[in-house]
Amino acid sequence: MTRETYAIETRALTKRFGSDVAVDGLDLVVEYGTVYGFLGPNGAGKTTTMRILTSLTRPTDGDAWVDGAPVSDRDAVRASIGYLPEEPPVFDELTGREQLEYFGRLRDIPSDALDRRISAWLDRFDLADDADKRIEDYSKGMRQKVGLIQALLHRPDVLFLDEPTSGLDPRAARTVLDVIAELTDDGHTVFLSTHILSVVEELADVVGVLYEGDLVTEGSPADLTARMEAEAGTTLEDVFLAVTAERPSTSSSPSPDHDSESDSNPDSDSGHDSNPDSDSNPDSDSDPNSDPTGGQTSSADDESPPSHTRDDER
Amino acid sequence: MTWTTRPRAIARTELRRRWRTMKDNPAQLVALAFAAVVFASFFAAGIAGAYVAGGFVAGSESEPVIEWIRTASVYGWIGVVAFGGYRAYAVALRPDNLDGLLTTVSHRDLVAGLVLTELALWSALLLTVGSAATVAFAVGAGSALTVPFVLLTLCLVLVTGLPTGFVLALGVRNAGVRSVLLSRLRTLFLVLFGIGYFALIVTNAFASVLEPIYRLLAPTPVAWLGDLAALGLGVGASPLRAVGVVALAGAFVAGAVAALFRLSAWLWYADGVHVTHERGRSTGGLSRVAGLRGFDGLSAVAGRSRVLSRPVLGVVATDLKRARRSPISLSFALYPLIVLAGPSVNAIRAGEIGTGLPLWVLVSGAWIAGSLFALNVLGQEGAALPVTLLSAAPGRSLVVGHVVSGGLLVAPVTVVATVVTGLLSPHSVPVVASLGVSALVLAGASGAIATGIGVAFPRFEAVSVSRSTKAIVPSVFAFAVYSVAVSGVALPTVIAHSGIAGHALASFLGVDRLAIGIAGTVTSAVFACGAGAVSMAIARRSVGGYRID
Repeated sequence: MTRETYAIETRALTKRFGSDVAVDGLDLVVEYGTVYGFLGPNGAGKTTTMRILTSLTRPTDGDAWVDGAPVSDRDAVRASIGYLPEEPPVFDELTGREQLEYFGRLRDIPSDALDRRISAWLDRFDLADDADKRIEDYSKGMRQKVGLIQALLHRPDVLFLDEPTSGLDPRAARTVLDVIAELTDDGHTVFLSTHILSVVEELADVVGVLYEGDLVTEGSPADLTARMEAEAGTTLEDVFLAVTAERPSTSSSPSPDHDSESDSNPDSDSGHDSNPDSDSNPDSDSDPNSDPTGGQTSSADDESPPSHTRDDER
Repeated sequence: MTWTTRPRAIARTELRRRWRTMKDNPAQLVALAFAAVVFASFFAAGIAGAYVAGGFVAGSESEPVIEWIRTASVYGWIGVVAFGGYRAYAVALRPDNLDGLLTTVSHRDLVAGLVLTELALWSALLLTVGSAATVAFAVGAGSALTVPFVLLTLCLVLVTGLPTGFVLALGVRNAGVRSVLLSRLRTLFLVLFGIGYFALIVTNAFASVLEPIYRLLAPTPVAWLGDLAALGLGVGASPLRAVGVVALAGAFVAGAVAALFRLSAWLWYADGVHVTHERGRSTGGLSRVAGLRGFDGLSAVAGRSRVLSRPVLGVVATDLKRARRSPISLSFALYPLIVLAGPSVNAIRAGEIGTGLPLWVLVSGAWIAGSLFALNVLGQEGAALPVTLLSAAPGRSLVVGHVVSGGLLVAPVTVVATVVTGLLSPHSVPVVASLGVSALVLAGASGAIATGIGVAFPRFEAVSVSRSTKAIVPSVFAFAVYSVAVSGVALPTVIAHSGIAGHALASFLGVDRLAIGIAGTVTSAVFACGAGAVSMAIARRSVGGYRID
């Protein structure tokens, strides 16, 4: 009997660091061609989960597969994925174009195709005029764009994006959201970690909320809000706040107003996007013309990034 | 695409990045040019020496010559391994954007690319110089056949030595990543290693360390490299060993590559030990000061002070906390200790302390006290600077706070060390007392002197103080100006208390040595307090009126 293949699948996935449990028996399935919105407060285990799924970290227990390959098979996983971590992996000493050429070559993309793809993506993200400047002179948003293009340049089947709109201006962020939507239209799978709930609400087919290593709820945004409607409200934010509320066993935090010099963080576990520096960088990868099964032959036109946008997202 | 395509691409990009980094840093370029000038003379001497050695070998008995060449080969190989290990530990095995690279290429491609980078970098230098030296040696020996054999030997030394150094460095780093003990005591081990290395240099005891390693390797095929190098000389080299070392080098490289792949995977995919940092105490009020374990005594002194305001105490507490939690970020302040090396070694060798050592202790202590916290008052605030500038009286709290921090931390040590070494020296007790007062005043006032210089020449950008740690340290120019200022202020004390100058002054003026010493102390104190007051006033005004452009 053969196991049904999903874009991402985990079974009882667990990661411990010493006595700390970062991921606790995670079971999830992500279908091909969908956007999975991965939510959770700071320190919930989202980044650890993404690192396991991208084969960067070994799980302590349980199993995980990406594009049918076990995460222990790094070579196979690497070939299927694109990853934009929290901090865009770019080299300050290179220009934007050199950076993309470098990673394109490491991905074994033929030179002519690589040039076309780079030019197209630079145009799409409005980076063409700055492509030959050193990345050290880029703004945070420009670095984010380069990191994003780098993640999707080789047309991976599964994209892991950690806060892809972080640092982007509204127009660039809109482009990223459009690209993600187009990617999934073409069969790519996007595993999207973000704190910006409106992004998830707009894009995600399925939302999973991780809290203290547990997947505390999962479903489509509509399902989740419907479940909560009777007692909490109708937005995904309400759902998030409800399922990530402080657990009874956890000691209560002091009031942020009290006059002490303690090291406690009044923002921790609040569920609000209070800490923009931690755990919050969704990445997106857009290449709608690629074939998620890898069997489609590219034409010259295929190298162009998508240019259409969803009217309903405007 | 071949199996070398990705490693070559990685090596090419790494070399490009390093070149650009160096090219963009004028100080590094100047240092490189200086090193090139210095080493060029060494290389020229080496090439001339190779020519002389060639002539010597041609006219010598076979038996000792081949042994010398084998010995040289072993030591040369040890040198390349040590150099490769250092480069791997400090630079090469810590690639930037590791996650991005490991989700793009395999760890095998990555480590191969990094080794290739180092090979390309150092082969270019060593083989260029080595080729010239080889030709000179061959000319001196009158044997053209020597050239290919020596060059082949050089290549084998590089391709076996550098990867071996990498393997050793990977072993050390894997141990450090996995051992809680090593992880916790990393700084201590590095300091001990640095002290040991420094001791080896100043005591000229490298031979005693290398000798056991040589004895271990001399009976191994590493020594056969000498036979390969000497094959064209006709000095009794074994052709069998020469052929054997070439074949074994191939097998050795294959084994080293396998080890590199395995060890790099263990390192780069390791979770690492999970060291939990202690929580700070949170009892309010002056607890920031009192909560500094290890600095409790100092903190208590500061905490009981009726003179220091609460903001100043906050600055002091933060300085001491940062110093304790990240001592490596203050490593720049240890440079003055270099001046102590010579007098200390002399004292150890002689078995007695002369009149000079207490003075060196005094000067270096005062030098460190001022540079530690007060030499970059604005810059070291880092990202907190905007908030700091908007606090109440930032000029006073920052400037005074940093001066107090350095004084509290270093002045007691300086005074005690000066007095103890003074008492163990030929100085009389009253003169030692004068030295102690000088140490107290200078160590206390040097921070004040530093503040004005620091705000005049601030540095805001972080620099690497180790491969994995960046910190905002004072600018080189500020450090240089401050060093001159402190030296000038300390000069009267040094002259008055030195054996020769102090005695000459006392004789010339017809007064007691103690009087000269006291006069020197008073003069230094007046200079220090005057310079410190002016410098602090400038610093307070500059900080208070500072605008971020």
